[in-house]
Amino acid sequence: MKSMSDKFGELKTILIFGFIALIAEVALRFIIHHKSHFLWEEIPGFYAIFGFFGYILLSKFSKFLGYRILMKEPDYYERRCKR
Amino acid sequence: MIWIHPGILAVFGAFIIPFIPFRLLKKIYFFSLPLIAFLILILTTKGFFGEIPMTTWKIHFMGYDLILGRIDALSLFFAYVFAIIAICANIYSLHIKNDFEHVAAMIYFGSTIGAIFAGDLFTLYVFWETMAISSVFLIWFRGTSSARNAGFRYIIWHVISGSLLLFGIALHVQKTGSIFFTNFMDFINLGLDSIPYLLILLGFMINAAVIPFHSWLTDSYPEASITGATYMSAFTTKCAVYALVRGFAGLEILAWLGAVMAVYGVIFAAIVNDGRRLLSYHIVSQIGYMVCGIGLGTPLAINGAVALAFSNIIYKTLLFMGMGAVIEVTGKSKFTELGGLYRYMTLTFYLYMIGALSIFGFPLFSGFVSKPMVVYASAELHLPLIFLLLEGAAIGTLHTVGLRLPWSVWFSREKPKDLIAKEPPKNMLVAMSITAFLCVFFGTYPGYKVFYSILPYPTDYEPYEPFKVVTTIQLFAFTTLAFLIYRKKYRNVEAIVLDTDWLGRVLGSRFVSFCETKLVDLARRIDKSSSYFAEKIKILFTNPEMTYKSTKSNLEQSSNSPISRQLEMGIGILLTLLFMLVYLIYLILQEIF
Repeated sequence: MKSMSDKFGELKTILIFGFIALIAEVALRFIIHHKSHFLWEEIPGFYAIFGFFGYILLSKFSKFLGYRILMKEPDYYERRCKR
Repeated sequence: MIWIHPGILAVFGAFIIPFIPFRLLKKIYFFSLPLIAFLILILTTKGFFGEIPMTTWKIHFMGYDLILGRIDALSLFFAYVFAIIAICANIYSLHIKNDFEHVAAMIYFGSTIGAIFAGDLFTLYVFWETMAISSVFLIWFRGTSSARNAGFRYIIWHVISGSLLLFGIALHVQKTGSIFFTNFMDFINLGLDSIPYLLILLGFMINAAVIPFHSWLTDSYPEASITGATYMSAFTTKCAVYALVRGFAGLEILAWLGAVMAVYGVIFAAIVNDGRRLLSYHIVSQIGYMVCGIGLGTPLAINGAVALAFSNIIYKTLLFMGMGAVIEVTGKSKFTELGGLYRYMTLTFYLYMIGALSIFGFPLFSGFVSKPMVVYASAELHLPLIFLLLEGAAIGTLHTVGLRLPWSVWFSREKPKDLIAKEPPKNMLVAMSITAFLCVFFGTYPGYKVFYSILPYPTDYEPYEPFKVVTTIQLFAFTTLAFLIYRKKYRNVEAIVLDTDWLGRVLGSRFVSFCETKLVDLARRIDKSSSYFAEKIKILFTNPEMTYKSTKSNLEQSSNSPISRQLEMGIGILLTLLFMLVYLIYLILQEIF
């Protein structure tokens, strides 16, 4: 039986969905001319790479900031601001 | 037919609410107020009130013309969306029995419309402050001690914002003799002449929650009443966005600040433990896009900024409604106390997800036709860093609002046994359904064409280009993929997150403590020694031979004497004179430069 956590989004479905979008982008490059503003937009599947690794970078960085510096116990201000 | 100001109608109409006798009548009246305001706006556009000049509803006051109704494409655009969302938020609040919460909400709505239609700076200031005062009650009506404290911090920030604005306005009027609210970019330079405009800009930036002045928002919105937060998420910050568009479009620093805050908001949203605090941090991120668009200043960027404000008001309210419904039913807002609500609040989940997909900018939802305009404008200006920051913030948006929050609230684990969960009251579901429908309507044909037709600048931007569609789907799919792979490692922690308000709360508290102990002690010692010398001088002139016989006891007596009280007053007057001297030096410097 699936756990509650596994019910949120099927890994397989999202993989198929992503790859269809990848194939569609490559196919579009042959059919229509796309005006690129930046060099990286010339790379097929740039947004897939950007999304995947961007997520990892963002979540690692926010966790680092949170756990190392910013997260404090819930009564932090009550204790620190006590006069 | 005479044009009626919809904002003033709502402000004065609000006071009648407590006096309406029957509950049903009261509900109908409360629902009708923003509806009538909306109808007035439609009739205004359709020419029912005749050819409306750009400025109408003028009042002559102290030698100035106060313009209460500046009606143009920009102000009408914002007024429309504020009225639409007030209708939805009123439906969402219909079950609330506290009449005064409704009164505060309608004054807040009316004063926001008043600020949008203000053609002069003085009128803007009056409505600006009315917004702050009425909205603080929406926080206090939550009734908790944390809400009371957050409300006080909120009002302090808004008093500072209002004071800066008023000071800036006074200096501007002194300099130019005009109170007309216009674009201030022509007055901004590197000299002291710019000070009035920097003060006005700071006032606007505080209300728009531009970093580092954003902490009032993330501190207070999560503490507001459930229904109050839906109004707050829509009005204050977007009104300030309007003011920035009107006054400071094209100010480059705003483009950079906006791009940074778009990422800043999502980084913090990724670590907070409270649902509405996550959404509040996400408001900071979304305002970042708008501020960036204002800073870029091209017609496409400005259109993007205001289009995003329009769609953001709708989907952000929907998200606050969704999370508010969870809090209404369960009484919990922390991720560590929630989870597994999917089976019990399925409809709320799907309605929330429409808002989440809209805010990410998924095709067929309103975010897709508005947000990319700002990103595209940065690409057209060839600003790669801003472009990457904004695209990176889109990943963060999906991660926080689209994945982390729904996963933590509706999934993540089986529902805790002590958690009561069911669908919220019907009026809440109806309001959420209407807002969700609007998210889809404005994101699809012909909705987005209607939406584009009322933008301040004409646009030929085409959102549904095949390339834009497939690359957005790629970004969505692979960000979701990364989340699904890593979700098992994700855990929510019972903690608070420090932000720039740490300075005010901890250092401020230490400063107050220092003033109360050390500084008061020092003042007492100065008082004592001054009294001692004063006493000596007095004795010297009255009875010289006693000068050397004064004892400690008569010195202590003297500290409570009228002379010491006069000295305290004297120090006060001295400080006032010092402040006046500083101001005089400033005026002289201004004359010189």
